[in-house]
Amino acid sequence: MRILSVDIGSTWTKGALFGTHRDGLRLLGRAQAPTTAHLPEAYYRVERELLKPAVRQPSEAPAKGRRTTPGMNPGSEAGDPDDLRVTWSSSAHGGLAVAALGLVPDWTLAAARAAALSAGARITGVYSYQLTPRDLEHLNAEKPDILLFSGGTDGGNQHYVSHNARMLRGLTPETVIVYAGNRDAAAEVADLLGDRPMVLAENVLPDLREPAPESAREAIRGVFLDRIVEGKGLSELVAHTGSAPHPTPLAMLEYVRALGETGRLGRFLCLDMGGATTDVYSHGEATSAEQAIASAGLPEPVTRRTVEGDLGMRVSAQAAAAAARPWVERLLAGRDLPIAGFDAWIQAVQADPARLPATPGELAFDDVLASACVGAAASRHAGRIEIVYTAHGPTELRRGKDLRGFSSVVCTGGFLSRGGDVRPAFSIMPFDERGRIVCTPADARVLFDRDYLFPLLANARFAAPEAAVNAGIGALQAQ
Amino acid sequence: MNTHTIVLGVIGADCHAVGNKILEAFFTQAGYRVVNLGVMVSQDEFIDAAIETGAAAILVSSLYGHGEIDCAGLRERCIERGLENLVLYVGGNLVVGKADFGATRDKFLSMGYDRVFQPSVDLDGVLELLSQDLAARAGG
Repeated sequence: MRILSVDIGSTWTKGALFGTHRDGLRLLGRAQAPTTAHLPEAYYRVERELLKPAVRQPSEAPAKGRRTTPGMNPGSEAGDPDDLRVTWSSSAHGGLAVAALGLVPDWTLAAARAAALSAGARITGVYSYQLTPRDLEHLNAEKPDILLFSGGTDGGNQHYVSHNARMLRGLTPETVIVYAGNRDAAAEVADLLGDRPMVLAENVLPDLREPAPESAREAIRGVFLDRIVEGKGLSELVAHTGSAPHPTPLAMLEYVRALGETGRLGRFLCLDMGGATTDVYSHGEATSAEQAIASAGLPEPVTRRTVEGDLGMRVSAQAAAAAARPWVERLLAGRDLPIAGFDAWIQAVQADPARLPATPGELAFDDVLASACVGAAASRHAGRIEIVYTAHGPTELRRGKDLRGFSSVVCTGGFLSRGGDVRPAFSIMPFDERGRIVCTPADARVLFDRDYLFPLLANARFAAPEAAVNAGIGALQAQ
Repeated sequence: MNTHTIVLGVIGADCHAVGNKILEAFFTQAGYRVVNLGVMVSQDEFIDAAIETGAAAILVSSLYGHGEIDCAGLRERCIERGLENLVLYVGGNLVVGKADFGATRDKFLSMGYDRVFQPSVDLDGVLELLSQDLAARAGG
């Protein structure tokens, strides 16, 4: 079987042709093209390139030449040309933009936000308690694809949900409402919204101790396929390929989950850094020793995704240099590099996002920026431990996911694939601004997806689940 | 059978878990929908949970003697956050040492708690009072 995997990103449309080989995949070819305003054009170019007869070499040679790894063998066999599976994803035209509305920020809003992120969304805004006319104005200006509307546990508060449903009668029809709040209020919400299009899902937080994101995630995926694919010019490709696209981050999240379920990477963090955002995925459950620490807030999912829109290497370079300033300053000082030179480099890449480092100095500045983004993104993903003094002596109180015992960090994305040492970034800022311990990995091995295959393997997994997972693990390399 | 939701928890930096589990089992069996936040619960966590679950009462426990510091201001905070009608109970070893319970009760009543209990209280009596107080609150 051959698998054509294509990912339409906001800047590049990337593709690979894989062939099944023993228990893994063989890379038969790679291609990429700049993403076009009419998305199918770039797709067709990549597809033509990959399916032209007798592809012999990967079209884009990896930086350090060809390597052979157990799961991933570059090869030239075309396989049975009739057995071709096509699988593709898209994050183009702003990806899947979702705003989250909840009642209390730490409960239903947190649950709605987590559900949207796990559906592969980009969060455009978060709203809690009663929606105000100003909030509504903001929503109508942002025009997210979806508003995920939650509030109240089942049998819980209905007052805020009713108020918010009334307010949402003024929401632009371009935004689809997915209601995933208190079940008891669902009928009233549907009444209040009248003939406005709305999708009903199960409550994201039916009970305070048990978030249930699955139904909302499915509803978001349904809206993505029904409405958003059409709106972004992708329905032509659905007809062409005979299959529906996946939102890129959703494919990645499910790939990370599948990698994690093999147990071969231990508990791990996966960082996918691009020009605009840094996506962080983690897979692993708290150990019994970690559970002994008192915890507060929503229980953490086994596989978790966060995305940082202000941490990126090009489009977000300026924002990242400001947001991750403490990391930048310490990294520069550690390497004896001038702050003024770094700031000049940031301005240069912000003005020209296609700019690549040409001198050792520029390369060093790019490394500092990448490490700073890693440090800040991991810190935001990680939980916090606060020491509380009790009658029994000092006690640890945890919020969020404890990554200190995680054994691997997987780096993917154009900049991280290159293979700089990002480990110091985890330990530069051991405490946050409130003096709490930041639970980033303490002693993890760093593995690199040097050929940046993960998003393409994430797609291939839909055609060949086990082979794609084996290929991904085989493709990872240490420093 | 009543369908009221009540929020339970041990306030402050207090990790006494046993009584809290007993209260959860007892009130659940009595037909309440119990949201148990466990130990080391802050004032805001009680209030957040009560808002989200539409709870009619918060039952605060404090066993380690710092109750006065931890419990002060909870009523005001509830009002500030829109829970004017909530029934608020507190119980446990509320102060350090062998203080006179009458004085302790008055202190906590003046903080805005509706009822104050000592550890030796008969839970059936509490159940009776809770049901009366909830009915009165609903009627008024």
